[in-house]
Amino acid sequence: MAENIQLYLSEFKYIIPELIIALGIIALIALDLIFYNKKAFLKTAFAVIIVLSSACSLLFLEHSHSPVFYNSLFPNQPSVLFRLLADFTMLAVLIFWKTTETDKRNDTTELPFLWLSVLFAAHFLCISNNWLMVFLSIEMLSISSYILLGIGFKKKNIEAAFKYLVFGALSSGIMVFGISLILADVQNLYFSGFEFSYHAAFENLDLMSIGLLMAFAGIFFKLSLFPFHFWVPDVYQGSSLPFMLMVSSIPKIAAFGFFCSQFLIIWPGDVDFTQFSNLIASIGIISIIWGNLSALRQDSFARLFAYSGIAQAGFMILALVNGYDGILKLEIFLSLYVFMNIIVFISANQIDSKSSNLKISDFAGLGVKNIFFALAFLIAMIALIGLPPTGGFTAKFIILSGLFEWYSSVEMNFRLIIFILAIINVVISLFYYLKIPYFMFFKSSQMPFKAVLPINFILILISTAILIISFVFFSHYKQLIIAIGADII
Amino acid sequence: MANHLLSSLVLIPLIGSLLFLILPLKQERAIQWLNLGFSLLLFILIAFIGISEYQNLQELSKYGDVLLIEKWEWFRFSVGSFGEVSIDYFLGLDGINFPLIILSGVILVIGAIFSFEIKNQVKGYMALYQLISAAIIGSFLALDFFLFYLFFEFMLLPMFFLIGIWGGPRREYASIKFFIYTLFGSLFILAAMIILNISTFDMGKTALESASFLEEGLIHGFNLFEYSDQNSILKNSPLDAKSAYGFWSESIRYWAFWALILGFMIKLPAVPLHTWLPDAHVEAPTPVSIILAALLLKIGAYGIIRIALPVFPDIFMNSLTVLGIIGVISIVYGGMNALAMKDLKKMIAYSSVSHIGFVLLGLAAFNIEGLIGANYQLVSHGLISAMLFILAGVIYRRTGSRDISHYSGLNAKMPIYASFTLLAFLAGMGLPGFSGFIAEVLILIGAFGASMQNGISIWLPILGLLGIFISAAYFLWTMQRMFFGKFSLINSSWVEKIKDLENYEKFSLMALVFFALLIGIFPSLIIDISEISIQNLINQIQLK
Repeated sequence: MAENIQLYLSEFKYIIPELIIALGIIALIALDLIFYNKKAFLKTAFAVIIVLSSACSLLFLEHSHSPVFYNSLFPNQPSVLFRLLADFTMLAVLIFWKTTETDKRNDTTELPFLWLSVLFAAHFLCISNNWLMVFLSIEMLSISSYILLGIGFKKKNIEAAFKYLVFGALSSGIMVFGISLILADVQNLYFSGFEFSYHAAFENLDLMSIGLLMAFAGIFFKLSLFPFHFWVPDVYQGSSLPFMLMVSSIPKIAAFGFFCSQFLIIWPGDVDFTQFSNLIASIGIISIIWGNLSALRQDSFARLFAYSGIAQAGFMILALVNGYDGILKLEIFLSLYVFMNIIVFISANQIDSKSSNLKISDFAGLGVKNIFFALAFLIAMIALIGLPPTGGFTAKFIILSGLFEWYSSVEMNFRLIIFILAIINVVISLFYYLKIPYFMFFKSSQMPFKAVLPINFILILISTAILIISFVFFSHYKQLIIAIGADII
Repeated sequence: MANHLLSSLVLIPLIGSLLFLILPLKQERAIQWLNLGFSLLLFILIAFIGISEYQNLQELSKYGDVLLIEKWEWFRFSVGSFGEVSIDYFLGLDGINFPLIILSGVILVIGAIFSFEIKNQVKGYMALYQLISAAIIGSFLALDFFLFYLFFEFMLLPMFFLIGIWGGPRREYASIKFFIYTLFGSLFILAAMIILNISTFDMGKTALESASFLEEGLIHGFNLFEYSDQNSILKNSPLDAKSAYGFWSESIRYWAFWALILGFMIKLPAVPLHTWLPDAHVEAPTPVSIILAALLLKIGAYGIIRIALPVFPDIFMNSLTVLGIIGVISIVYGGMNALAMKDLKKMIAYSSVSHIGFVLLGLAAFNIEGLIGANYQLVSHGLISAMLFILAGVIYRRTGSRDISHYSGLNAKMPIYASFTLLAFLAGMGLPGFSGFIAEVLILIGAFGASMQNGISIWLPILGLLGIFISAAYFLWTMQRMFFGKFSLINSSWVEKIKDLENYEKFSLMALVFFALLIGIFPSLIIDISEISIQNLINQIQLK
C-alpha cells in the first residue's frame, strides 16, 4: 500500500504544469474570497503568472516513457508542444481579454477562473490515455466554454451559448455511446499498456470500429470538422473577440494534441492505415470545401473566420493522412495558425463598428489610418491563404506534398482527386481572405481608429515576425518544433 | 564577393524596399530619386556582370553548366519512408536567362524614371516597385524549382497593389482579376512541382550523402537540371512512364506537363487565357504597364523554356501541334482584336498577346532556330512593348483620354511624339533593322523548317505570317487615324494641354529605340549567347 502511494507521488512529477494550473484555479477562488469584486487586475495578473509558470515548467519537464496513474495519463514528449501552444494561446487570450474589457459587470473572478479551466482541460486532453479521461477533458473544455460564451449576458451571447450547448451535448452523447461500444468489445478503455485493439477496429468492420467512429464525434466537434461543424458560425457570431481567439485555437490544439500524441503515436506498424487515412482525408476535404464555399458569401467578420476555421481544420487533418510522418507537419502548421489567429482577432479589435456585428466593410481605410495593423493583417491573410513570404506557405506546401506522397504510396484515383481538390481550394480561399485587405487598401472611410495599447501592439509584432521568420529560417523553425515536441522513437 | 553577385541582384531591390518602409522620408522628390538610384545601381551591376561574363557564357559546354553559381541548402524535412526533401537556394546564369536579366536591368530603370509620375502615396509605391523588381530578377535567376516558384508567387501581391491602388477607374476589378487568374495558374505549377519532387530524386545529393539508393536514403530535390535528366525519375513512381499511375486514361506525366503549361500560359498569356491582360494594362499606371508587359509576361515563356521543355521533353514533343495551334490562335486572334480596339492602350495590350503568340510558335517548331527565335522574341518584345506603353501613357497623361478616335493630326502639334510613335510602330511591325524582325524571321524559319521535317503543319507558320500583316494593318491604321490628317481634338480645351515630349520621356524612348536597333542590327550579341545554351539543352534532351 505504502509502495503504491510512493509510486503515485513519484508520478506527479510528470504533470507539474497541470498541477500548477489546478492549484492556481483554487488560489484564484481563495483570492476572490479575500477581495470580493475588487482588484480585478490583480486576479488577471495572477492568472497570467499561472499560465506563464505552467509554460516554463513544461520546458523543463521530465517526460514519461510509459503511461502513468494506472495508465490513465501519458504525458509524453509529443504532447509537450501542444500543451505549450495551448499555454501560449491562453496567455494571448488573457492579455487580449483584459485590454478589451469594458463592461464592469464582467469584472468578476469567474472569468479568469473559467479561462484557466479551459486551459486545464486542454492540457488534460493532450495527455489522456484513456477514453474516460478524453471524455472528461472534452466535457470540462466544453462546459467552461459554454459559460464563458454566455457570460456576456446579452441576447446574442446567450443564444450562441445555447446553440453551442445543444451541439456539444449531442456530440458528447454520441461519443459516450461509442465509448460504451468500445468498452463492450475490448473490456477496457486504455490506448496503451493494455492491448487497445487497433487490429480489431481497422481490419474487420465490427462493433469496435463503429464504436471508434462514434467516439471520434467528440474530437471532431472540438476540431470543428464535418459533420460536427454546424455550431461554429453561430458561436463565433455571438461571442467577443477574445473568445473567438480562444475557440478558434485552443480546442483545435487540444484535440490534435490528443490525436497526435496519444492516438497516432502508438499505431501498431502492422495495422493497415489505408482505411483510416481514407476516412480522415474525406472528412478533411469535405470540411475544406464546405468551409470555403460557405465563407465566400459572408460579409460578417465573425462568420467569415468561423467558416475559414472549418476549412483550416480540414487542411490540418489532411496532414495526418501519412500517419506518424504527418505529425511534424501538423505541428508546424498548427503552431503558425495560432499566430495567424492572434494577428487577425487582435487587429480586428482596433476597428470601431457601428453595429454590434463587425462587418468586413468596417475594415475600409485601415491601410491609410494605421499602416502597421494593415500590414500585419495582410501578412496574416497571406499566411492563411498559404502564400510566400510567410511560414504559412511552407507549412501548406509540406502538407500538400505529403498528400501527393500518400497518393504515390497506393495508386488510387480517389487520392489524386483529394490532392487536386486541396490545391484548387487554395484559390477559393483567396477570394474571401483577400476581401479584407481589399477593403483596407482600396476603400476609404471616416470611421475613427481606436487607440492602440502597447501590449496588443507587441503581441501582433511578435506574431507577424514569427510568420516571416519561420519562412526564411524554416530549417531552424522546424528544429525548434522538433526540439520541443520530439517524437519518442 | 564574386560569389554573391547574383544574390546582390536580388538583395539590392529588397533592401531598397525595406528602406522605403523604414526611412522617415517626407519629401516625395527624395524618395523618387532614391528609387531611381536603386534601379540604376541594379542596372550598373547587371551591366558589369554582362560585360565580365559575356565571353564565359559562350563557353558553356553542357546543359546544367552555369556561371556565378550560388548554391546552398535552405532547409530539408523528412518524409518518413520516402526519404528526405531538400530545398536549395540555387542561383545561376546561363545563355537562356542572361538576355532576360539584361532586359530587366534596362526596363526597371525606365520604369523607375516613369515612376516620377506617381503623385500619391509615393513611399508605398516605391517600396512595392523595389519588391517586384527583386521578385522579377529572382525568378529569372532561380534554378531551384521551389525558389523559382517562391519568386513567381511573390510577384503577385506587389502587382495586385500596384494596379489596385495606383491604377485607373476600374482598377479594383482589374487587379482582382489579375490576381485570381495568376494565382489559379500558379497553383497548377505548384501541383506539378509537388509531383516532380516526390517522384524524382536528386542524384548528386543522394550519391554524396547516402550509401544506398534505397527508398529511405533518397533525397528529393528541386534542382531543375537534375529534373531534366530522366534517370532521376524513381521506378514505379507516378511519373515513371512504365508505372500504372494514371488519371482519365492518361499518365500522371501527361497531366503534370499540362498543369505546368497551363500555369505558364495564363502568365504568358495565350488565348483563351488572356482576358486578364487587357484589363490589367488599361488600368495600370504607365510604369506598372511597362513592367507588366516587358518583364512579367516573359516569366511565363521563360518558365516553359526553362522547366516544361527540359523536364518533360517526350510529352513536349508530342504536343507540338497543340502548342503551335495555341500560338497561332494567339497571333491571329490578338491581332484581330487589336484591329478592333478603340482604346490605344487596349490595342497595344492585344498586340502584346499577338507578339507573345510567336514565342509559342517558336517553341512548337522545336528546333534550334525556333527556340533561339523564341528566346530572342522575349527580349525584343520587352523593349518594343515598353516603348508602346510609354507612348500610350504620354497622351493619357496630357488629356486623360486614350480613345484613338479622340485625336487626329497630332503630327502638327507633337512632331517628336509622332516620330517616336512611328519608330515604335515600325519596330512592332517587325521592320528590318529592328529587333522584332530578327525574332519573327528566326521563328518563321524554324517553323517552316519544322514543317518540312514531319514536325508541325505548314499552315501554322503561314498563319503566323498572316499575323505580321495584321500587325502592320493595326499599327499603320492607328498611325493614320491619330497623327495624320487635319489637327483636331474631340475636346477643344485639350489644345493647351497637348505639349510635345518632355526630356525624361525623350530620353527613355531614345534608350529603348537604341537597344532595339542595337540588337536588331547586331543580332549576334544575343544569339551568340543563347545559341550555346539552347544547343546544350537540345543535346541534353536528345541524349535520352
